[in-house]
Amino acid sequence: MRQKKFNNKILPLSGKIYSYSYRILGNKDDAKDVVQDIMLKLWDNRKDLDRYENPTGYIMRTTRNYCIDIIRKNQKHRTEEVNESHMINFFHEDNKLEIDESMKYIRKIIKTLPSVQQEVVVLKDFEGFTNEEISEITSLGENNIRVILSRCRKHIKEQLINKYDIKNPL
Amino acid sequence: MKKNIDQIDKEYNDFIEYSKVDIPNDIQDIALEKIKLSQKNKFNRIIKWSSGIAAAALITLSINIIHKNHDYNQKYPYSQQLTDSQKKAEFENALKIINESLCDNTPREEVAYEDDNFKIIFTKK
Repeated sequence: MRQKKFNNKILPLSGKIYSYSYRILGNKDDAKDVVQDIMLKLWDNRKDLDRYENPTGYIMRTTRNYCIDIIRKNQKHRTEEVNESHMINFFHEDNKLEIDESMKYIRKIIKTLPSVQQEVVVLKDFEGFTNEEISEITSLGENNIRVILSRCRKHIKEQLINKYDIKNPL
Repeated sequence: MKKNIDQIDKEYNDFIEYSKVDIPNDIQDIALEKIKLSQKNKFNRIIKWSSGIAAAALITLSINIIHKNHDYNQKYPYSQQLTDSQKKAEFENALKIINESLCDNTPREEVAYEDDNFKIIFTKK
């Protein structure tokens, strides 16, 4: 891959890498570092990128693994094996002050979902990735992703319907 | 509090919008800067290595030349620089001096032959 193609195709993904790594790590400076390191890795291996028609999935998977490595290093003192998806907390307490009760409630509902489901919902609804890309990132089958998404959305909706006591919602 | 289903959808969408991560405007520039810096460092490393190798080659070459020159200019002892015929000539000359000294009646001392190993002095009384 030549520099021009790299600048046009890969570099614009910096924002997505930043957003995804911030969700995983919960720290803006760390997320910036991840963007730099991942971009440098991609630049060094730019020949390999030609193999991918749509390298977004591959790049985001690389980002995910890199972030998980960072979390692992930070948790080195812990002896117990932790499942990698359990290490990720997608909703960090941030500096945005204005959050109303309903938003807090939705966040609470999503946080109660199994971690794999949380990740799929975040990638699809919050980060706007396609099912194919999510499949590449999470190594889940596309059909599985469709099922997970449908279940999660249904679950969130049901929880909200119950909270607001809506009769005959459909 | 009663809400309808459309409001719930709106709340969910609002939450998605709210949860979007604020991406710094200069994030691409930061990444590009890092790549450029890495390229520059790589280039400097190559230059350093090449200079090092060139310097080492020059030093080796210089040492080689000095060593060879030293070989060519080395001074051997006088006796080893003479050919056999020269040595023979010198010895004959010494005999000639001895002969002349024997014939000459004036007392004197004459060095007949001299090299690194030995010296012949003829003394006429």
